[in-house]
Order: sequence, then C-alpha cells, then structure tokens
Amino acid sequence: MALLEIKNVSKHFGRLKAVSGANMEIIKGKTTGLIGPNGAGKTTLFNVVAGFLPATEGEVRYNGENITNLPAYRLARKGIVRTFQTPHGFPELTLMENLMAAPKNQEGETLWKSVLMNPAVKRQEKENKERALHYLEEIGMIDRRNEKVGNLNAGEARMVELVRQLMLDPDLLLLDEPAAGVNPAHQETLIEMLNNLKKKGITLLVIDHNLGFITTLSDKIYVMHQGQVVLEGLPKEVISNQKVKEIYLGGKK
Amino acid sequence: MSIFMFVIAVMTIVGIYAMMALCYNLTNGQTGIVDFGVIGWVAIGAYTYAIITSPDPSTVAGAVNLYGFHLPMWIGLIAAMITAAFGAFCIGLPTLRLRGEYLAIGAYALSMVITSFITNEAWLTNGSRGFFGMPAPLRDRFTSVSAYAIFFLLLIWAFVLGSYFLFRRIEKSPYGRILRSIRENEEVSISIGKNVWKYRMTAYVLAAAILGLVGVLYAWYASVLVPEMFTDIVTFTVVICVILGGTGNFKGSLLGATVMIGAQELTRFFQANADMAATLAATRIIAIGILLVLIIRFKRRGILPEKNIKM
Ligand SMILES: Nc1ncnc2c1ncn2[C@@H]1O[C@H](COP(=O)(O)OP(=O)(O)OP(=O)(O)O)[C@@H](O)[C@H]1O
Ligand SMILES: [Mg+2]
Repeated sequence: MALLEIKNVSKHFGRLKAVSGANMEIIKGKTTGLIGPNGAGKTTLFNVVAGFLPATEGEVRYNGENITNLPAYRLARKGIVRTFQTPHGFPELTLMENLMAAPKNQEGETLWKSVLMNPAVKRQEKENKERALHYLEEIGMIDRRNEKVGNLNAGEARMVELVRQLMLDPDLLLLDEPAAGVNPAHQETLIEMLNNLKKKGITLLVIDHNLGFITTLSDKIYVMHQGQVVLEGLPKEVISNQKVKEIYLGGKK
Repeated sequence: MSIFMFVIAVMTIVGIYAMMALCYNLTNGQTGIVDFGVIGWVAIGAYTYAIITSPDPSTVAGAVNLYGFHLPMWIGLIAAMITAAFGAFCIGLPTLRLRGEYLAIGAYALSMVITSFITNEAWLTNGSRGFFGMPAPLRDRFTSVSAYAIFFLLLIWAFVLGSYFLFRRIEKSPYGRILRSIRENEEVSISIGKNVWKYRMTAYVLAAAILGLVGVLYAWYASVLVPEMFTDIVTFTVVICVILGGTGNFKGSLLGATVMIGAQELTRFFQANADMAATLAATRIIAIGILLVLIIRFKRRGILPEKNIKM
C-alpha cells in the first residue's frame, strides 16, 4: 500500500521549474531512495511534501488523505517528519533540550499546564528524558548531553538532528543527505539505526549522493534530473542504468 | 528627605522597572520576539485602571473626561490586565506570523499611537491633565508616611517576585523549552510539529497582561497619570535593563533594573540646581550610551548570561 503518493507535483520559483510533474509512490514500511545531481529538485520536493513550500501544482496524498499545502507543523504531527540538508537544530540549547523539545503532544506544551506542572507533566518529562538519554547513548554522545548543539561539527549535528526527529515517533521519515559529513564511525551507527527503523516498520524516504550507501539501504530508488523524475526501479537496475550514468557524469558541475 | 526614605523610593521604582524587564525578557529573551511597544501595554493598563476606579468626572473640578466608574481596585486591576492582553492579541494577530522586525515596528508604532491617543482623546483620558489624586491600596490603614512607603515597597516587590517565579517556572517547563526553540530556529521548530504562531501569541499576551498590571502599580506609585509618563524612553530603558542584566536570564533582569535604575535615580542627588540638572540629564544619556557600547563590546551576553538547564 502506498503511504505517500506524489501526484504530478510541480514547484516553480519564478521561471525556474525546480520540480515539474513529479510522480512517486512511497510504499509503507519500505525504504525509498531519491537520487539525482545537484539542483535536480530533490530537496525542493521534500519541502513541498513536508509542507515547507506550497506546491505550484499537483497533489500529495498521505494514507489516502489529500495533504497538499497543509501547514508543516500539522504534517509533522501526522507523522511526516523531515530532516534538513543543512542541520541547524537549536544552537544555544543543549543536546538534551534539543531532543526534549521535539516530542509531540507533550503534557506541558501549553502555557497553563506548564505553569501548573501537574504530576502528568512531570511523569512525561521523565519518560521523554529517558528516551532522549537512550538516543544520545545510541549515537555515542551521552557525555555531551549538556553541551550546546552550536558547538557540534556538521556531522555530529546531523546525528543529533536525526535522533531529535526520532523523538517525534515518525511514521514517514524524510532524510535529506543523512550521511553527508558524518564520520565513518558515526556512519556505521547511522546505517544500523536506519536498519532498526526499517525493522520497526517506519517508512523512509532518503536523499543521498553516496550511491553505495543509498543502494544498500533502499528497496526502491527514484532518480530526478532537472526537476523531473526520470527513472524508478530496484537499486541494482538503477545504478547499472545507462541514463543514470550519463546524468551523473554529465550533470556534475 | 532622609537617605533611608530615598532608598525606599528608588527601590520602589526599581521594582516597577524590574517587572517590565521580566516581561520583555519573556517575549524577547525566551521567545525571540522584538517588542518595542512595552510602554503601550503599561499605558493601556494604567488608563483602563484609572477609568474603572475613578469617581464620576462630573464631580471633579475641571475634568473633561466622561467616564469614571468608581469600582473597587481589584476590578480595575483585572480589567487592566485583560485590556492589555486583548490589545496584544489584536496587534499580534497580523504581526506575529511575520518576521521579528514587523512586530518590532508594529508594536512601536502602536505605542506611539497610544501615547498620542491619551494626549488627545481627552473625553476618555482627561488629556494632558490626566488623572490625579489616585489612591494607593490600604493607604488609609497607615498613619505614617514612611511606614506606608515601606509597605508599598514590599507590595511592589511581592508582584515583582510573583512574576519572577511565574516566569522561572515557565522557563523550566516544556512550554518554555519550546519558546526557546522558536527563538533559536523557527523552521526547525515547525519541523518538530510546533505551531510557532500560537506559542509566540501566548507568550506575548501573557507579557502584555503583566505589563498592564505594571500600569496599575505605576498609577498607585505616582498617584497621577499624565501622557508624559508613557513615552518610548521607558521602553528603551527596559530594553537596556534586560541587555545589561543578560538577555534570557530572569535574575539578570532584576539585577539589570537595579543597576540601571539605581544609577539613574542616585545621580539625581546631584541635581541641586537647575544648571546642573540640564548638564546631568545630558551626561546621563551619554553614560547610558557608553555603558551599552561597553556591554556589547566586552560582555555581549550581559552581567548574568543565560544559563542552560542541565539534565
Ligand atoms: N527557495 C528557493 N528559491 C529559488 N530557487 C530555489 C529555492 N530552492 C531551491 N531553488 C532552486 O531549485 C533548484 C532545485 O534545488 P534543490 O535544492 O531542490 O536541488 P537538490 O536536488 O536538492 O540539489 P542538491 O543535491 O545540491 O541538494 C535549484 O536550481 C535551486 O537553485
Ligand atoms: Mg538538496
């Protein structure tokens, strides 16, 4: 069953057709790769799907529901969670605070409940704290939990961003170049974590330039070029495809 | 006036500024909203309170305003807070969705409009003559002026500390954490499912309600309300108190107001003759300017920088 359907989606910036007429079906519980040269429109498509940019035309359906142009924060609450190509996080806040900000439906999220600080709020804080510690342990940064995220290097910030978004319990996770800048030790952790997510039945849509990484991870791959989806298929088929080779060799600046 | 009484008076006005600084620190320090309309909410609170509690103006010689409901103080106080909160809601509606600068300009413009409104709309505010002889709470229980001054100081600081502990509680709560995340990065806050606009709005409205309350304290303290009390100089003094004390640190706001207003009021000692007064006023502004430059150069994050909550 398709968890996410992208139907004839376009996104134009003035005269630039960053995405034009893209069609995709993201199958529930599977991992889908999205590749293409720089400027192909991959990130732009993510932005449209996650509600960060309005679509110029087309439709996005999630669980059969038309979610085109719904506000991004509502899509995140519905389970469509994305990471950013350049991870930022909340630089002046600690790793723990970054993670603890994320969970949805926190009891103490509203002004009144936060002031009352009733037992339910405290209990949930404790649960979330344990989860956050668990994730930081997993990425080997538990000792740095009280450090500011602004002090991390790009690769570390990317790992923290991933676990921060996992605190939301996503159903569909959109990862924009999750391995870029991540050191080899962390890359192994990352692959292990992504495989665990797959086992848990979480649907992944992953952009990456590292073809080795993306082909081992994905069940299916889409290729974008100049705003269009030019190819879809099994990882093996896609990387051996002549057209893909041409795009990658010819498309590189 | 004895030194002791002078210090009591200074600490009272410090308290009033400290409370405004706390509010600005909630909206700006925690949430990242730039609100240059602080004094507007104070003015709305003060005048709402005055209209609700003042006697019928037709019984007051020379009054040209039409309304005075002579209701109890606590009703005036609640009305002041609600009116200021409602005002903030209305201005927040169009501006809080936009980037910071729009609100800064919008709120500043509104506070200018409010100042000109209270000067010109005499039917409501009695214009430049304003309200006078406004009673302070429980004044009649005290026979001695100095005993009441001490009581009033404690009363003001009870409100200050009440706000302080409220804000500290917010700071430590999940809600406060989300306010700071919005300050740090709006886009990422959206990506974790937070309705950024709603958070900005609630923080802004809460701060305005408490600023409305400050308006009431100000009316009690001064016993008169005239338009000159509500100029943008107050707003900018508050902003400096917060920067000086440390943006994002509520304790810093109390300290910043004490240092800034304390220094400002203590230099009044030297205002013995008229020549000195003019020179001193100018010197003071220059001194504040130099102080700001020094902070920004050497202690960018203020005397008490914001502290992360460790877990
Ligand atoms: N907000 C924007 N305004 C104008 N043009 C944009 C905007 N965002 C992206 N573009 C343009 O749209 C095109 C597609 O960009 P996009 O970031 O989606 O590519 P990409 O496939 O993610 O590339 P990369 O692999 O380099 O990340 C590019 O030409 C880019 O310059
Ligand atoms: Mg991209």
